[in-house]
Amino acid sequence: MIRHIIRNWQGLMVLVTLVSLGIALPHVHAEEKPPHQIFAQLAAGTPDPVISVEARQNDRGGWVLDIAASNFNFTEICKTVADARPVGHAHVSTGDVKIASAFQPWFVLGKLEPGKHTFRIVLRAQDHRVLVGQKGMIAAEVTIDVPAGEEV
Amino acid sequence: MSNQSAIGAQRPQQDGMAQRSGSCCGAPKFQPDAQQHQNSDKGRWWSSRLPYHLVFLAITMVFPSVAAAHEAWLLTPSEIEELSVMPLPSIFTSTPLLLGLALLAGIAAFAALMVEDKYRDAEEKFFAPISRQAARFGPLFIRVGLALMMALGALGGLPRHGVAMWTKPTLMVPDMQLALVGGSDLIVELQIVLAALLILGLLTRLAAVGVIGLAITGIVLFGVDFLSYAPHFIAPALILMVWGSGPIALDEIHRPLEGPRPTEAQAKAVWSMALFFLGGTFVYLAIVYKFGQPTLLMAILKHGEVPTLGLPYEYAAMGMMAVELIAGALLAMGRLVRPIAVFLIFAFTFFAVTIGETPLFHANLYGTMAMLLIVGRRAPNLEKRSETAFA
Repeated sequence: MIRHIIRNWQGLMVLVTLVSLGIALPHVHAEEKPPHQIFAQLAAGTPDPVISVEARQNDRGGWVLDIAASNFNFTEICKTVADARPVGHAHVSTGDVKIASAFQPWFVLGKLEPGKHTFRIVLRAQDHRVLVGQKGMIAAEVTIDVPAGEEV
Repeated sequence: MSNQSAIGAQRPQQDGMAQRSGSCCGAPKFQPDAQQHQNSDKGRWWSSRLPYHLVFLAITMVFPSVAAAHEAWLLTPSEIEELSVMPLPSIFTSTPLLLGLALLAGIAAFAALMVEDKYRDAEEKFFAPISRQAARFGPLFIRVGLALMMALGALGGLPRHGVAMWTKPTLMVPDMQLALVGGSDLIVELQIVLAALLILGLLTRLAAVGVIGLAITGIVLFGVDFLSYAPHFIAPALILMVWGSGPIALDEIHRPLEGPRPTEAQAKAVWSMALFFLGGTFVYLAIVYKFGQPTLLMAILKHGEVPTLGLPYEYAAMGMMAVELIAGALLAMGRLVRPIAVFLIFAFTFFAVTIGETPLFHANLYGTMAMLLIVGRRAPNLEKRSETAFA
């Protein structure tokens, strides 16, 4: 048996690696944080961005979302890898569908069908990861009620 | 979600036992010693590959601090919101449970290795008709796989989720958009030229050097993120550098710039290095992207409605991590090469179908795994190109 183990020492290497991971993993995950592939966690001490969103109609009858943001700077520069800083853009989604990226603090939706439309704005870092402050994701929501009879 | 060793890899004492004979071209022809099978049973635990393995073990102990956004665009907004508050299941935080699972997985790995030892000859006999064609078709599979990835990437034909086709050229893989870095036009042109050379089998060794250069350029341009991809391009390129284009290629007609043939020792070293890069990258991916972020993996499994045979997603995720790590580690050490190649081909295809991605995202790996499947653990003979793969 010992001879088998020595001859298949690669199995020993695998076992040692797995055991090491088994010991290390609970410590690595001790501080539960959102996955850093998806989320960019702002450093402690960085003021959390705050956003609010309002909807208005422009003179052509289309709808515009105005995003009021504090402690955050909009930029259209995207990077493959970005630091977790309060700089970036916003993703505009409705339901489970992202409809656009807003690189300025406004976004033109255009004309909408009659009915209720809910839009969610979530701040993103320059590499498109979701910005996370001390209180979680930074998001805002607005519902637009388009009356029936309004032309699309 | 995101790979056959030289004889010396598994039977280290063969380095001293192989008989060499000169060839008409000056490079020694490798002819394995008939006694090697018997000598391998002496089971020396050290080998010329040991430094690779120690490096591999050291690397697995280090957790990179940051892995940049990879699948941020795959999940829906509500899934991302759910992910932001998802607690870590206890399976990932309980040391006794993890150690127990590690022990079980380690025993399974040992058992697989013992089965490989027992049925080694039967495997070679079974695959003999295919492995005879290894030197003929192996390099062709690699060339096609690499060429597809580079050509499609350069033309924007492998966009990441949410990006329109043919609009954003990338460097080899969907994640690395060239618009974000300088010199992108030159890189696009270079990828297309290299792809053409590889498809035609013209100046293949030079093109392989170009592929390695591009992979290193990717690390310089995109940083540590490209480490997830570069070795999976460097490894097949190394194989092409040593074994050339294969007979189904324009190089066979013209043989320009082929240069001197590597020696048998050089070829074995390169083969070991290629396996190390292939398997080692899977280990790296398993640790960084799966062990390091298990809730993300669970979210992606749920998003893709990947069948888990009734297992809760956390157990399926743990299983995937362990399997990828074990498969990568054994491949890096030149063990169970064919079974792992089959498994990886199945895994790429399975997840491509269930998550809804094109299999072309892994074209380079399909080509490389196809070569490993037909070649097995022993490197193709440098001299015999269209007949028997092994001396």
